[in-house]
Formats: sequence, structure tokens, C-alpha cells
Amino acid sequence: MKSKPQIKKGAIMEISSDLIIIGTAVLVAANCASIGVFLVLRQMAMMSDAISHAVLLGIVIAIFAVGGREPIPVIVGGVLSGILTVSLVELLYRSGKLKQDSSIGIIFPFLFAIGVILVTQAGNVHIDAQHVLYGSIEFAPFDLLYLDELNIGSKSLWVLGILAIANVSFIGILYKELKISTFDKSLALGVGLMPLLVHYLLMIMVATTAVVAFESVGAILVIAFFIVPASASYLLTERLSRMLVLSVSLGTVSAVIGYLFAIIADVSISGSMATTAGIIFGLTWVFAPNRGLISRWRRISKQRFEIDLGIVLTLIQNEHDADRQVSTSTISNSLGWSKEYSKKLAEFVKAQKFVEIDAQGNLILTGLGLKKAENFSN
Amino acid sequence: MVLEEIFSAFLGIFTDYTLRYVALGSAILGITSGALGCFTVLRKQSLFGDALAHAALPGIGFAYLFAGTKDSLLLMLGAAIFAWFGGIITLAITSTTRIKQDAALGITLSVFFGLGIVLLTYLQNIGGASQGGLDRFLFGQAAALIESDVINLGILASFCFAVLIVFYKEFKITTFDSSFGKSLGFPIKYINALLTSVIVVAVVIGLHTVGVVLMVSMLIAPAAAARQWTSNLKNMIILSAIFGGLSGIIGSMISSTTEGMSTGPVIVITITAILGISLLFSPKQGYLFRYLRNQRKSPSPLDEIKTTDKERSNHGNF
Repeated sequence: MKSKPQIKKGAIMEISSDLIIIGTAVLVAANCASIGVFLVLRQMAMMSDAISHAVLLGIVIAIFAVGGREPIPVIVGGVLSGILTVSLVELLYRSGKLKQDSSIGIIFPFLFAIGVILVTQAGNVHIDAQHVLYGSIEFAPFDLLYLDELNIGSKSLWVLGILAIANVSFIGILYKELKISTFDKSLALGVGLMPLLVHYLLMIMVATTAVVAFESVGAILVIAFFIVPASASYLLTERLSRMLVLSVSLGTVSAVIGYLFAIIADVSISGSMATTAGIIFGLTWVFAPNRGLISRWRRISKQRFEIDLGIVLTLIQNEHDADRQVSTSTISNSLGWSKEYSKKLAEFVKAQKFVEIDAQGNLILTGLGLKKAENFSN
Repeated sequence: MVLEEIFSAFLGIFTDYTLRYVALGSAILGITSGALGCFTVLRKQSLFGDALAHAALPGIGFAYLFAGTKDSLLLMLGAAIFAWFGGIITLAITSTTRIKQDAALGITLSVFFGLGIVLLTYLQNIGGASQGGLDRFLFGQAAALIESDVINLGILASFCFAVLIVFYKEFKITTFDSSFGKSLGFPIKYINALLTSVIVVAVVIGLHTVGVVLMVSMLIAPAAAARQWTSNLKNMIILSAIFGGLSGIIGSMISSTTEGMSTGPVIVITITAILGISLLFSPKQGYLFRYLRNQRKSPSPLDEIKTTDKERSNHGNF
């Protein structure tokens, strides 16, 4: 490490380096997760992919222009290249020559490739090509901000903190506009909420967040924080406000657990955070109360059972009308079901008192069963 | 000066032993991904390739972790399994939840990539120097290709083309009119799975030369460029393969003349330049000829109406 950034005596803030890294991680996750909710709901996830790659070019050019990594020029450069990406993508697909996803998939690798070449070929940028991909959150404690030679603490905490205030005010002030233009664009247009302006403001916030997070988690893993917690919370709630809170919480939890795992296993912190976010998404996907795989599977098998029940009762009724007896083997033969399943159904309808079973093992409809069968066939 | 260097590099293909394999490997990738990319573009699945490529990264890590060799076939097998797995996860998310395809792709891409980074850093820490080289799959390093790698790539590419030729009709029908294909009794599901598999193989071939990060460009850009010149699928595939192969060779030549330059970014810039030229100059649809046509047309009273119509529709767009 460079020798300059030792923590001087009399610094305003002296926080242990672990806390600085955790704080940075949590702030990155929370910032991305809140904006990400709108990306997921507006089906613009891949646009964030494009923006987060493309900011590299702007960052590198800004570093060339001012000869250092001052936060403000870097953010301005990154945001400009983010907007350039969005505009180029829209230009390409509005021309009618390419579809939107193809336009995205052409523009961002191109801009990113230029950025990577500049990074690897120009000696004075001081970005490692690999850190472009997964950031260098490990070095957050060594990157300090100076105000008139006075050390005022970790740069990443300051910048991310200001970004958090900006994001919260953006969402807070434009909440109604964002909400309506996300769920009903034509209504937003109709009542004069300027969805296009909201769209571009959102893109600017995405680009700003991507630039600021870039140093910590790089160009690709930032997508994990934009999309994954927001998607998980989309499976847990129906309300936008709750989704925002949940998304930020899940992002924070993945940041902390991911950090701890990375320390224990001695692996990349940002990679571990993204993986944890993925595991949390996976758990939500399986266990979410209404929209999870398990409850979905239960619902489907319950519906299927209900239908099969109706079919069995109708079958018995029809056979009775034709003066034939019905046993479990009749069920399995005429419906093509397995013996076990037919037996299980027969026991179930008996337990529900829809049928009675006589000494020969024949199923006879009760009054209740007749009603149920008629209900079903109607 | 640069031109001279590139020119001498081209001569090097015929004389320099190493360079020959570098160029050959990059050409194989370009041709395969160019040809198969046509289907991803036409099926509006362009970014699916992006997710597949990123998902392949942990496969490389696991293959190295368990097999302990850098044998390119084993690494490619691991990569292919994970790319496939990533594709299935993406499809499963969209078919069992209300999450849309774009977010599902973003989830797969970023989480698998994160897992890949975790594995690579883990291997770096336990293996020390012996692991060095796995990170060449991030941005591609065609210069590291050796004869046996190129032979492996060639075998995989021939497999892709064999499948493409045998199932050409099936791929074509399911791409353009999948319900018609269904009515003819084609097993759409299996055909789609087969097509995804060959695209996975193309992605895996690309890991050596372009790397996981920029692979998507090699699937989309050649096909999009070819689309500007022709409307016939067969011609489009051939042209796209030529564009892909050309950019592979040019890109790997340029990068091999410069110290420490990854191949992937150079190939991507080359193919995007080819696309740019196609967008501007293709005779039927290019901007230039469209402009010239509009200039040459003699003014007629109808033009005014047309322009106002056009302006109106432009307003509608913005």
C-alpha cells in the first residue's frame, strides 16, 4: 500500500478498517437496492447492466482529463458516459435496424472494451483490469478524504453517504411520479407527470450510483446489488413502499453476511457479497409465502387434487346412472391413474363422506357426494 | 507505423508458429459464434448469451478446483455445465415467478459471476502462482493458445456446425414460426434445448479468446451486421460467420503486437466497427444510401405530405 494514507493523529474520525469496509459494503448495497426496485419493476434490469459497464469509459477519461481520481470529475464523467449509453441504445433501436436487447448487447461491450484498453494500455490510471470487474472494496480504509490537509475520514463512506442522501431525496421527492410512471405510463402521461423526464432522471441516478459503487464492487457485481435484492423483495410483497424497505434490508443483510464469509474464507469481498445476495434470492424463491416455489407447488397440487376429486365423483355418478358398480380398479382403469392414487382418492372421498364403500368394495355416492359432483359438472 | 506492424503481424500468420494458432483459434471462435449468434438475435434472446457467458466462470473455477489441471477440455466442460445451469435457472425464474426475463438474466449473470470471482480468489490464495492464468478467461488471452487448445476448439466448432447443418430446417422453423413448427409435429422443446446447447458450446469456445465479460458482443454484433446486408437466413449465417472470423483474426493480430493487451476488447472493437460500417453503407438499408436515395428523388407534391406524416410519427415517438 502507498505510505501516504496513514491515519494521522487528530483525525476527525478514526474508525477501524473493518468497520469502514462493512460500512462501505452496506452503503453500496442499500443505495443500489433502493434504485434497483424501479429497475426491476420497469423491466430495465439489463439497462443497468449496460450503464454499469459503460461508466468505466467515462471514469477513465475523467481520470485522464484531471490527472487524478477526484470524486466529482469521476462521477461527472461516469454519469455522462452512462447517459451516452442510454441515448446510443435508444438511437439504435429507434432507427428500426436492431431490437432493443441487441442494441444493448452491442453498445455496452463496445464502450466497455474501449475503457478496458485505455485502462490496460495507459500507465497512469492506476486501475487494475481485474478491479474493473469486481472492485477493490478491500482498499476502502486506505482511501481517505482530505479537507485542507485535514483527514476527515474514509472517502468511500463520505461519497456513499452523500449518494444515499441523494437517492433517498430522489425517491422521496419523486415518489408519486416514479410510482405512477412505473405502473401506468399512460396515466402518468395523461396527468402531466412527465414520465420521460422521470425516466432520464432515474437513469442519471442509476449511473451516479453505478459510478460511486464502481470503486468498491466493480462494473459487474454492482448489477447483483441493483437487481437481486429488489427481485427477492418483489416475491415478498405487493406494496411499493414495503418493497423498497425490504430490498434495502435484504441488500444490507447480504453485504454483512457476505463480508463475514469473505473474511473467514479469505476470498473476494464483493464476490462473496454478490453470492450471498444470490443465496438469499434463492431462499426467497423457494420459501416465499405466496409466490415461492413451495407454496406454488402446494397450490398447484391442491388444485389438481380438487379437479381429480370432481372427476372421480362425476365418474361414479355417471356409472351409477348407467347402473354399473364402481370400485377403485374401475377408477384406475377408466381414468388411467395408478392404483395407489386411485386408492388414495377413494379413501379421501370416503373420509369426506362423499361416498360409502359397501362389502364388495364398491363406491356408492352419498347425498353430499351427489351434490358435490353436480357442483363440479356445472 | 501501426499499419506496418499489423501488416507484418498478418504475414506472421504464415511464418510464425505461435501466431498461426492464435489467429486460427480466434477465427474458429468468430466463425462459430457468428453463425450461431444469428439465432439468438433473430429469437430476440440477445442478452441470454450474456448471462450464459458470465455463468460459465464458476464452472472454470470448479473444474480447476476438483480436477486440479488446466487441461482446456476439462475447464471447458466445467464452463459448459455452469453455462447450461445458468440458462436453466434463468428460464426457471421467469416461468415460476412474476420476475421478468431482464431481471432473471441480471440475477443469473451477476450472482454466477460473483461466485466465479469468489472461486478465482480462493484458488489464487491456496494455489499461489500455479493458478495464475485462470483470470485470462475474464478478458480472453488468445496469445496463450497452444496447438492442443486449438485442436480442441476445432473439434467443438465442428460439432456445432454438424448440429447446425443437420438441424438447420428445425432451427429455422422454430426461430421464425414456432407455432407452425409445433403444428408440423416438431418437438419444439428439444429443438430449443439443442440450440441452447450449441450456443453454450460457442460461448465456451469464446472463453479463451474473448473472455466471459465481452462474449455477448461476439454473438450479437456479427449477426446484426450480417442482417444489414441480407434477409436470407442462410446468407446471413454465412456472412455473420465471415464477419466473426475476420474480426477474430484482426483482433488477435492487433493484440499480439501490443504487450499485455487482452484479446477480447480488441476483437469486440473490431466487430463493432464492422457493424458500424454495415449500418452506414449497406446498399439496401444503410444510412448513406438511404440519404442518397432521398436526395436523388425529384420533388413531388406528395413529398410534402409524406414529410409531415414522418414528422408527426417522429413526434409520436418522442
